[in-house]
Amino acid sequence: MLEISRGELKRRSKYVPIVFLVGLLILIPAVKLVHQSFNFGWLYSANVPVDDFTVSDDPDIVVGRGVVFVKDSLKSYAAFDRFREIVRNEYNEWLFQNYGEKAFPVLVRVHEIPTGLIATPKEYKPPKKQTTPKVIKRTPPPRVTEVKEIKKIKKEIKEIKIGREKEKIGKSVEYYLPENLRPPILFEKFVYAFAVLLPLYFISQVFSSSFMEDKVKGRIEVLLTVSSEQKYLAEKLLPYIVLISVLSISVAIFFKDPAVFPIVFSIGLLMISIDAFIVFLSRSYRELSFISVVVSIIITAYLLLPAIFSFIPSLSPVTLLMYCIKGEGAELSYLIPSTFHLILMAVILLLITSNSFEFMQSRSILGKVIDVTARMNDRYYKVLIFTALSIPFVLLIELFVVAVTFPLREYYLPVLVSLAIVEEFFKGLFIYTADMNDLNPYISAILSATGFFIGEKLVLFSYLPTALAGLFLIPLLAHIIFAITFALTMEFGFKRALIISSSLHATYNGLIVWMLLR
Amino acid sequence: MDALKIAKKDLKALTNEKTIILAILLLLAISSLSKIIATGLTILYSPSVQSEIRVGLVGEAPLFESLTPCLKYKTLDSALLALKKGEVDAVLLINENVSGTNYVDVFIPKEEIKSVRIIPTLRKILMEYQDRLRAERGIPTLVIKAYNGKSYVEIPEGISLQFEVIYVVLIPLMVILVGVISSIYVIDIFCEEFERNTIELLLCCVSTWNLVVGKILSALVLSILLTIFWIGGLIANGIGIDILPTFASSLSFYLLMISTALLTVVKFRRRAEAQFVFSIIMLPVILSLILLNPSPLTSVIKSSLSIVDTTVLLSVPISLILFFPSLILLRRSLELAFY
Repeated sequence: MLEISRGELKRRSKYVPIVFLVGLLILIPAVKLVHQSFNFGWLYSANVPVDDFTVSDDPDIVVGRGVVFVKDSLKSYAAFDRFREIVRNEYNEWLFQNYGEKAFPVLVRVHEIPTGLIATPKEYKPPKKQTTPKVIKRTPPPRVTEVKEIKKIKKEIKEIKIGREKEKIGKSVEYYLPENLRPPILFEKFVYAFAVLLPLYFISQVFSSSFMEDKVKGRIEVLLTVSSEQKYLAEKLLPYIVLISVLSISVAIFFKDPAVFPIVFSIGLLMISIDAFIVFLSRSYRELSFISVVVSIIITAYLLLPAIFSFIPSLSPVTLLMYCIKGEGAELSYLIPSTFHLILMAVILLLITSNSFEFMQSRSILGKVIDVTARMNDRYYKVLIFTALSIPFVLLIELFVVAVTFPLREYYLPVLVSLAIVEEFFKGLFIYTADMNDLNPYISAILSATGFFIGEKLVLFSYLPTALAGLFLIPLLAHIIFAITFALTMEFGFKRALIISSSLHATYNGLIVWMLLR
Repeated sequence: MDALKIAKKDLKALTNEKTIILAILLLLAISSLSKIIATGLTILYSPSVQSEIRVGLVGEAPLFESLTPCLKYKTLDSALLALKKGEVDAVLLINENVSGTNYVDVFIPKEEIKSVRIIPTLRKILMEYQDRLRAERGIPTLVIKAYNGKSYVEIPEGISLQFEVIYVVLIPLMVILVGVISSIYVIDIFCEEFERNTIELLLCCVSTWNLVVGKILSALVLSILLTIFWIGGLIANGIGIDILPTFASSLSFYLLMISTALLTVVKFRRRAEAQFVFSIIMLPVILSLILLNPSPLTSVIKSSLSIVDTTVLLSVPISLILFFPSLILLRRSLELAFY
């Protein structure tokens, strides 16, 4: 029972404590220290001593009597911005010393109100004494540079009922000076969230090394004589999944929020399943290292990028993690789709990997992908489902493609062509492999286009008004035409069919953009 | 010449697998993504995106009303309803007190990009309100203006964030990434020979010195190639960078990381162990390098901005001084193991 898992644990047992030690004891305080010590004043220069600016003969800013002179450069503007911040802090300190609290006549706090709800605020009662709260603890702030959060008022939670929905306002109440009013970017929590995720990279690194070692040294073939492919993979993964679970639970306890568990666990599961898939794709350790680094960075960007702009609807799991760390928790309506799509991607990748063992040693990456897809894609309904399920991966790759082609954004064409290739690749893959299993390519083409359309629109439904549903017919028809074009031309080979259908798709995209910009 | 052959062999294996293209694409993607982030963050803070917003007011605030046009509501309920219907962009609850502290409660739409537009504008309005109240109390107000020559320049609030994201986050990220790729590559090409037992065969044909130098050479060629791409990617995204000093200081940083990789290979011959130990070592080291000034990472930042001081000038020789002993240690360890 669980021999492979026990063997794995025995071989890797010395890594486990290190991962935990790094993750839980060293990393979070270290990242906190780095975060707190960030000060880049040395980047800038001035003609006179200013804080930690360098004094230079060719300064970024020249401070004169009552005015500041700048150059026409980003660095000089940035230096002025920092200088302005320093002067404001010193001015506030001077004001506090000379005038006391009366020098700070305006203190602001922000309540974010969900506007998606239908409002019938009959039961709402405005909080009493909101403008002149007497509960402020007015222990004088020792330094006015800390006036940023000049006074913390005791936490109050007021729930207001709006229709059937409940919303919370003022969960954690802090007053700011007007100049410190900032858009809701959770930078500090972002650093913590990143620190929480770092140990997951180590766990998946140990797993992929071990799995690759089994592959390169031919252990897999030996083990498969006594075990099935699925059982081998499941047992191989088990210790790492347990480790991820323990880590997730520990972090959830640390931040005192159960919602942290599904978030960290789903991210860990995705990372480990991606690494399993990469091992299947890679032909050597070198290739594994390269693909692994690249994919890790892409996944990091995919997870962390939306979190930087945390005011955007919180479907990003890292944004939710940041809210949990902040103490605001994650709403279930966001938590479920956010973690579900990661788990879905992980399950799909593990499913593919568990069906891929006989193709592990093939030469080309494209060949492997086609072979393993053909093995699974042998029914019409599977063409529809698999194409729909490929959408999260399509979106992930499209994000990468958009980033690569971003410097060429003014020319449109490279971006449109690249996006068309990505979409046609996935649709074509399921048509091509269905044909390998003797399914009718034209029926497969229609199903593939429909599946793609359904998957794509399911993602977009939450953002688009239903009134626009009628406009979906044209994109569906377009998808079917591109897919049938692929089916018609695939007798010339996968790559040629892909080029032809992508060209058509890119032309269509170009037309749409032209019409929109006209 | 033997060293060149070894380097050629390793680089040929690398190009055959074509995965290097992925690394190049990744660097280009990061340079673009970071530009997107930097631009996005500036938009968040910049008053240049300020526009007219419709402010709903609850309470009595004559001074505030004299500064900005407001739609007045009798109760917070009705104001919040108007906010939800989109009739106003923000609701402010103020009961003005000219001599005391004014606690202003601001209600804005949650999780909407609209709030990005609202907050910088509200900040400006409330700062004006603060100045006005200070003036009423006889407290001097602060005015800081920037001039370029004789003309006044309005410099966006928070523009330093964009600058620092590019030069303090993005460029070190690129350098660290290329350093990690090159170091892992060094570990791979040595451990591959150990694990396949081909190292002994190679040492029959070339000297230990040539073997070590050849493999390091291939890693350096890889890092130079990747550096050309990330610097090119930044320039393509309109980010100004002093090319040659950045190139030199980046190379010195890679040398340090490759030295650490070599020392790891001296101790650990199995790839899985070597890479894991290398990662564990590098994590706190990189965090420290970000923290410390001067450090090899801050030298890269400075050189990208044409700030040439002693620390930048010293970074290359110091890296070389630290690099050669690790090379000699690896060579000696190989000689001890295989001769």
